[in-house]
Amino acid sequence: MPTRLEASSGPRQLGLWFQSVGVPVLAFALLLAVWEVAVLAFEIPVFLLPAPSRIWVDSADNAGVLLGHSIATLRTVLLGFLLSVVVSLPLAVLLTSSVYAANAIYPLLVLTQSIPKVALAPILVILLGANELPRVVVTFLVAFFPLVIAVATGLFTVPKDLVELGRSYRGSWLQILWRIRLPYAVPMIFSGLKVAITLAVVGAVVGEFVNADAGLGYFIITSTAFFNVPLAYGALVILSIMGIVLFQLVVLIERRFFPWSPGANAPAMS
Amino acid sequence: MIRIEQVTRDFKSRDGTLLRALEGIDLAVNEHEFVSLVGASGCGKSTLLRLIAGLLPPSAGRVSINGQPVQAPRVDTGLVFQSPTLLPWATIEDNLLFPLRMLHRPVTAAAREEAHDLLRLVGLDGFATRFPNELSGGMQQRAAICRALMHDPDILLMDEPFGALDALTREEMSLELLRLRRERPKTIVFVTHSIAEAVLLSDRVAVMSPRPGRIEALIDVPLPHPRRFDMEGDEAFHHCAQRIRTLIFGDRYADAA
Repeated sequence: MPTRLEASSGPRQLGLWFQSVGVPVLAFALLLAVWEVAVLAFEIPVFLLPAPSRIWVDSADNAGVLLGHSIATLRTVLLGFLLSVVVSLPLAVLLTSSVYAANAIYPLLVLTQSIPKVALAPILVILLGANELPRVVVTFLVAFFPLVIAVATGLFTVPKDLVELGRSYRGSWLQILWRIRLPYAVPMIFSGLKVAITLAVVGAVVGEFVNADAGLGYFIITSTAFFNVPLAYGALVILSIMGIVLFQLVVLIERRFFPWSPGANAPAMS
Repeated sequence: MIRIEQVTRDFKSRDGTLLRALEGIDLAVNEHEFVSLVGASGCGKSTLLRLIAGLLPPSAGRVSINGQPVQAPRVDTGLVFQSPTLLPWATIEDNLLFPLRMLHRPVTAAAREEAHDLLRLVGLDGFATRFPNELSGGMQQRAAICRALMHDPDILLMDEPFGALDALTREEMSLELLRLRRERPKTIVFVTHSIAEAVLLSDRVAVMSPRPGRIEALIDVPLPHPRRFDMEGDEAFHHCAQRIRTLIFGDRYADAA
């Protein structure tokens, strides 16, 4: 289309690009600069607040160590997330399949969410042992609830007509689930997955705070214990990058495999 | 042929009382006949259609098709809803193939060819790879009618299929249905609240009254086939429509129309 070509080379398009990409990048750079200057000007001790440059230099010097801990955390996040997906989907199907199941399961679900996971973590360590398992379980417990609720909502809101359509073609319960209800719930499932992957990072760090010999959460605890604050900040930055990348991966999967989902067209960062 | 004998259907309301939606319904629809169910809302015409479709069992009485009692949805009936109820995640072609997949029939090249033939028949050729939300309401409903024909049912059950469309599209769709019926004769039970639509399309009109739903009268439409829109000016058309109107509203409003 000629009009679009014109627009993309025109100064208006450049202005839009500056507005959407340039402005946030500039604002972030400005923040870092103020931070850097403030630390230098007020001679803030490094164990209180390290300058961005110091965080970068120290982290780069310890890149190998940080990478090892990042892999450990990523592993916990992915295992916990996977577990919450594997548990949430059948659980949501069960929840929406009968009033009895819903009445039996909902109170239990709410109960698991009313328990503070931070308080539960040390108990889980005693129960499951000082290994990776309690960390994965904490991650799962933090991440699965919004996923179950999202999937169940998606399955609940399937229009009556669509289910009747399936029945009119002699569809079995399983066929109607597979060909109508689950596809219909896909946008909701993905909104649940987006929340779950973000929370999984939080859950993994909580688990590592309580019991771990590796991982970024563990690394933050040990480095702050030795007042190695720049490295703790470095770990923090990696954690947030990990969260953003994992979130975007879920968005990409939705766009790639379910392009018809309304969520697939939403802005990636929302 | 469809035979409905002394059918009653009750629904349990929220407070536990029984509501009678249909009472003492007797109706026989012959092969390749077009019968409309007309009546005010709440007269149970959609319920009656669902009983024929096998989606609801009768509380009393008997619904049978070709002598066999209807106990579950049958392969020889096809259903069209008021809303197109297309699967938003599937292309128009895949929506048409949906009945075959549900019925565990093979999706062959011939089946795809049939889907394209049907789409051509209703003027939707070239839209097979589009998604439902790219089509207008009328086009979506055409696709839904094609879908109902995909497994080649003998009986087409239509629940206010044009009810959600604007007046002009509605007229167009009526013509479309008449043409479709000429090319692929089917037994059709058609629920509508448009008297003109019922008269124009049907061989017979079952006028229903509400609370509880009954068949008030069965009216033969004396117009010749094929039907055309200009027949709406005929004396016979007017007379027929007027009788239905009187049956539904009583004498009060008959003069106004």
